[in-house]
Amino acid sequence: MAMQASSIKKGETLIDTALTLNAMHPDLLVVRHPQSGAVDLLAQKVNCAVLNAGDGRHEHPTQALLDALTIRRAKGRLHRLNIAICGDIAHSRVARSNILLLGKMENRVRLVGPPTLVPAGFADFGVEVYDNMREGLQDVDVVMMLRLQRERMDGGFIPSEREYYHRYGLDADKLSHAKPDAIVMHPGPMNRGVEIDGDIADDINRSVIQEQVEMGVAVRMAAMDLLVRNHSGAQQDALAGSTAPGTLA
Amino acid sequence: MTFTQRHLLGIEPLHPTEITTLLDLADDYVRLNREKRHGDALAGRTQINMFFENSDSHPGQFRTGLQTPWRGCDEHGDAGLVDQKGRDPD
Repeated sequence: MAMQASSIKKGETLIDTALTLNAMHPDLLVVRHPQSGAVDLLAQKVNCAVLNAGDGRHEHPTQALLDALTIRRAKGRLHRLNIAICGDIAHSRVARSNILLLGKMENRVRLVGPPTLVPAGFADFGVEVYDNMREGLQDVDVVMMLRLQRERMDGGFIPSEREYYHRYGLDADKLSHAKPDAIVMHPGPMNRGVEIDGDIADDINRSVIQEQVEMGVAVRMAAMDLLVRNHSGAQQDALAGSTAPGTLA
Repeated sequence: MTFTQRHLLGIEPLHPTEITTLLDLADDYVRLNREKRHGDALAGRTQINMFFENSDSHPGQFRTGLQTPWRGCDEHGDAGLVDQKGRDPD
């Protein structure tokens, strides 16, 4: 169904659309929405499992999970690593989910970017904040670059893309401050020459960006598998307690 | 196996053991995918994708994750082009 042809365009609320789709008895809804909290609201209204594929600036759990899997496979563990998340933190739900996940798994997380794109409130997440990229990358195991989210910016957050690349774009010189075996990540899509140098992105000895894509499929399969299993288990529990089909709440 | 969540709405509600469970299962799926084999854990299920925002590869990845045994995947939304985010055209 294309959005343009759906009832949303005719004024139907998100909840009404969800309830309509819910009446089709799906096992799983995968939802991406520009408003933070919209997916959570929707999950309260439907009977099936709901997977958040990104809501506003809030969370993007499967991206963080695929990043975690990529790191675990590349570094052999997912704890006690120094990880720098660099760039447009302010507009990034990917950064927020990664900060939460990497913190839960007992890693040391640094945020690197200009003050306009790394709001002071992020220090409350238990991370270290740097506005000098060379200092922020010193001895890190993982360099996670983020895209400049122009579509979410409503003001002048950077002087120019050229100036931004000069100070915060990942190039060989800045990467040399990280550990020699540090890996480079990017959730895509990349803006080459803005947040990352093309040669770094393509360096098969450092970049795991293509692996992230592969892990993305596997992580989403695993997430859907687990959610559907839990949903089926709940349905069977409900059936076992009912006297006849059709008496389910 | 430890994963008790009914929904996956964010990382915040997940316990570290649930994260590990999901990653371990994802590792199994990596192996299956590389062997071009398919599990049947999701056979006969119905999924609806609702994308109300421009996206890059994610709708495709959720669809790829479905595999053939699924009953169906209904697409509802507005999955836009990567190029609108500024990536070089492939």
